Amino acid sequence: MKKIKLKDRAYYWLMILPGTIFVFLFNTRTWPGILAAFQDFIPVKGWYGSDWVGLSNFEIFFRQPDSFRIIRNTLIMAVGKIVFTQLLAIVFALMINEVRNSKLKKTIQTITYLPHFVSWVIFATILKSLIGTNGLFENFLKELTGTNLSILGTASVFPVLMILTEMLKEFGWSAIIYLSALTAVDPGLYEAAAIDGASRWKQTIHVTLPGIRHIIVLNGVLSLGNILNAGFDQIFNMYNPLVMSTADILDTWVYRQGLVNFNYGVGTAVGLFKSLIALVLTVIAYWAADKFADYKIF
Amino acid sequence: MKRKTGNRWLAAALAAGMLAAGMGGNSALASEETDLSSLTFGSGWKIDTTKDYSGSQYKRFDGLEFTRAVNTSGFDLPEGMTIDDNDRVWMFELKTGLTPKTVWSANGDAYTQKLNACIASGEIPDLMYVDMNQYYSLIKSGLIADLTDELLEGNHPGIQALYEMGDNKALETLKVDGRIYGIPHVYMNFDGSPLVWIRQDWMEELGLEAPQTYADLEKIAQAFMESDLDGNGKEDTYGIPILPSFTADYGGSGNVCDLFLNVGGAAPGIWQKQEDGTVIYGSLMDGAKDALTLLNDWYQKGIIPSDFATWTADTLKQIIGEDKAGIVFSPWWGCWDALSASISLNEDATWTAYMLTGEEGGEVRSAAGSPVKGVYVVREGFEDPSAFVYAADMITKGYELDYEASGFDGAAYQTDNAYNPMYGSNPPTGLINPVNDVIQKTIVDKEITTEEEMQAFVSEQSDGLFTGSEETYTAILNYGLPVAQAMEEGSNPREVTVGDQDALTVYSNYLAYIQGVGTIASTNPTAVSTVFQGTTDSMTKYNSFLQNFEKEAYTKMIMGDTDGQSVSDYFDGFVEEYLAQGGAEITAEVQEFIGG
Amino acid sequence: MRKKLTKGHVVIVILLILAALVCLYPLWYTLIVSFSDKAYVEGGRVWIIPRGFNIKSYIKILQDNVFFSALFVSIKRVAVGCSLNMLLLVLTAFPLCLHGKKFPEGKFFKWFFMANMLFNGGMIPSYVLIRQYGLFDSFWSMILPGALPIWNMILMINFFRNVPYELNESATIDGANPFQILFKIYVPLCVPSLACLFLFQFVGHWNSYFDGLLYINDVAKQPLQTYIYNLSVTLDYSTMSSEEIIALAATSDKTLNAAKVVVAMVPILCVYPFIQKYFTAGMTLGAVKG
Repeated sequence: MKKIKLKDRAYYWLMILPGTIFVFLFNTRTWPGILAAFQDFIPVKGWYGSDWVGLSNFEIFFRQPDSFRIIRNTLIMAVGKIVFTQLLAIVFALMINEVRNSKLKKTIQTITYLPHFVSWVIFATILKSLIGTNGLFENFLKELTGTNLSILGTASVFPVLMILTEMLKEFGWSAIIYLSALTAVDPGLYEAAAIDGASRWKQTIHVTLPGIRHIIVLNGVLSLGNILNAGFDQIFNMYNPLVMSTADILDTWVYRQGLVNFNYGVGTAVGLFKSLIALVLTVIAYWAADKFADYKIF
Repeated sequence: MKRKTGNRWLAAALAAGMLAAGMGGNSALASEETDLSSLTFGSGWKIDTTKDYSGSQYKRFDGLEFTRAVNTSGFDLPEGMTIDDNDRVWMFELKTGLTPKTVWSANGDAYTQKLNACIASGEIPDLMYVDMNQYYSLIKSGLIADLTDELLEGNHPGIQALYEMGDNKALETLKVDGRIYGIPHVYMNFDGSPLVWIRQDWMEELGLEAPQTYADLEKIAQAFMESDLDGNGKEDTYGIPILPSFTADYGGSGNVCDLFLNVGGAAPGIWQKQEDGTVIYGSLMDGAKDALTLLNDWYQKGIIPSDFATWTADTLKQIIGEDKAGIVFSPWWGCWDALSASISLNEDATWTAYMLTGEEGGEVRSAAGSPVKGVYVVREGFEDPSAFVYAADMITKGYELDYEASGFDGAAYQTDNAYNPMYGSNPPTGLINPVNDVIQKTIVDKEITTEEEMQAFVSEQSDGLFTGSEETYTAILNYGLPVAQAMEEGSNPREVTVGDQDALTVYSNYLAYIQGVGTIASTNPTAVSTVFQGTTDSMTKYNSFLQNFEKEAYTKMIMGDTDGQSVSDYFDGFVEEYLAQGGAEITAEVQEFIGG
Repeated sequence: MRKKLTKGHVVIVILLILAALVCLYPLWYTLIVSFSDKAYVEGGRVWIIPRGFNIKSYIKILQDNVFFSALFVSIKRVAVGCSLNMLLLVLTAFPLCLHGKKFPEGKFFKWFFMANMLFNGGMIPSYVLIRQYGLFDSFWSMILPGALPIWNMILMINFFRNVPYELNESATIDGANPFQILFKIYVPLCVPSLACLFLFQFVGHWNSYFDGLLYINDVAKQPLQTYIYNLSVTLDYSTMSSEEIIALAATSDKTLNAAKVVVAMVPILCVYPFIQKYFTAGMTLGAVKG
């Protein structure tokens, strides 16, 4: 018995090693790069030869008059996207669930999943030609109200716009999880409710929603780790100087510091800051998933 | 439009000049060592060995290979040609002997991202074309070779004369602790100067007079807005559509820097030396208040579109193309940019270019552009960095193609100039300081009217270095002047065709050269350019914030979003905040750099 | 009773159709632009149907060798990349889904993967590594760095935990080794989930362009998305000469670029119907006890 166990463990090692080696070679070995966060990093001198500057790279970021604003923007857009996309996805899943005509159902699903497969680089370009100046949407508004409204150029609207376009792109895809949970709800429960005289609406509230409650909670909790990911590709491709105050996020800032201004140290420092926050949040999320959804992720 | 910069006349004139310049020089050994007649390039191109190539500047590097990265700028290669085997490269090889080996190529943003990653990782090609930011970063990393001695002491009469024409500002700009690490690509003056383009047919329809000041322009804008000129039954014409682009470092379509320069005299985005010798960042100059107040006034009156800050060059092009605006700021080449949709979609659209003053009779100031457009840098450790200094010089003049033997007429390049390893070393095609003689004689004085007269004039040039390309003058003579003549005779300028060129091509060239270049030449504006083009230490620290802050503040002032303050008070607050957030530190560093 | 069409249903169907139209329009717009005349597009006159209908752009694409080589690279990348991803996913996830007593070292590995998911040295060190490994300009530079997608591996662990452990035990008693258990019991039971993860990987590989841009020098070896990214020409007046801007304005071709985007989407549209049936069945996120 003991012998077999040892043999099994050898198999397990054999299974886990290939993946581990790849991760080690291509990710763990990049970790020395994090040292740049504490250096006046000069590429040729490398991570062991550049001058150490302590925490001054962090200081440079937090001394920026707009550092608070950048963090705030990141949070608003990231949280907004998570919450509203999931909400819309749930509503959409519930609605789709009501459709009886399977051809129609399938067509709608096929179409709404589609945008998910388009990369943001392309999708943003398309969107800009639609809701940008003199695009379809602005002209429509002008016809309707007579006012000249600039959607992409209004700082207060920009985060909302980012959330809305993210919803547009992802709601169908996100709904899949809920749809699958819906199919798992025991049909007997509906029949029982129908016999009690509950309307479709009542059935939704009392049977359907509780049936998928767990997956909603779980999805919410798991999203915590993404709370500082506001979507670089999307925002980078759609922001403009007028909306900087509400559009600039950590990722866009880091990009400009690192690859445009060659300020690697500061860029790495902020990236590290982001990772640390994500670490804390992920740990919290896993703990919460365990506690509230009785779900062990690891 | 295919770019053809066959510089046969230029080369001829230069060669003549070089004879004088090269005299007394050490009769070069290099050219004697290589048997020029034995060399062939590409499809059998040969060097014209009847010319005299004696002089120490004629040094060849046959067989020396170098690596490079190419920004294809969206241009495809012609059928059958490759990135290192095409007519641009053949010409480069013919002139220098150097052989390019391309390690990678990309387009636009992708090129920049990839190049920056290379710089960051320290793995760079032998020859690179970089901007000032990259230039400083490369110096800090010690990745590029010091070219100071070769540039200043070496015998390279062609490029040295070119730098001289710009008072050597280009070389001064590149100096770091007195050393120069790259070969500058010099700007032509007023290349990006935003001229004021106005729909001529609309002006005529409404019986308006040509403007001289920005106040006149406002009247025209209002007249346009009140009249339904596109005839759709709605008053939806924009007055003056501008872009949120204020800096005077170059200009470009939609840029409003010339308004700042003429109204109040501030020079946003560039460094200026004041009378007392101190430097000041142009965006903080007090005069900006006047311009901002004027723009704010226009904004309040609806002359500037309410959402201009989100507009891009494409939006501008589109609006103009839809006949929704009849005024636009755009450089001399606006017919290929902001005006392009208008003239191709609307066959009645005619345009006139103006340069305006702040007050009647005042001088006209205009953004001349920064002295350095880009820099060619050579990897430290490359076998012979001086080769590229020789190469740059040889491109402006030097070895010539034997046109007869090669079956190439010198103008019909199939490949775009983007594939030329050092295309930025070509002499600028447009204007320099501020108007060159040929443009003066053709457009302003109208003394030259035929190709023969032009050729005769060019060959008379004794200093050997007039600026501009054959293409420019051909366009002026063949397309520009016929349209101008048609207009004088009262016939429709949009219907002129020349040879097999359609009316649109002819009219575009007329707009660019007679209207655009011609307006600059005859106005002869005062050139305004920066006194400092580098990046200081504190700039890398603060600029990411300050640049946004500045753009935001300027935009807000124009839009009147000033927390209830007057534009002037808000501006004072802006300057104070700007200096407090690092602007003062930057100014001190620039002051120290400039000296005095 | 179920067949009765209530007012509520009508409203729902209308809303859903509207939602579908909103999702479809951006793509439809790209499609009609690709079939329209350039001048109408530049003048902003194309909205609902193509204007100045032509297929010039598509003919041009058919003549573009680089486009096809890029398409081929992308297909190869998806095929090889996804296969390797899936293999490593199941191999790595299996030991980790077991109870701690069966595989005590699992805990260490979990932390190892977790740390690697959260921390990365950034672009420059990755670039230097790829160069050091001699993967530059190699197809594998786009495959190996992401060979094991950690987050999806975690999802896989959860899918596996859904498989009743009794099956594992009885197979062990029958003398099957862990490899056999994994591929004969676990994998077949998790096909829908695997299909879903496969699609994640598919989309990821298909849409990524940045690694292709950074690590591949030879244009002929770059994937389709990098090729398309390379098309977007931004006019930057401050760094371009008037010559360049003029020439670009003449060549920048919105309709051609739109056509390339459309063609780039075709492979996804081809794979899509085959995998779509697994979407709903497979996205259960592992052990949801509900």
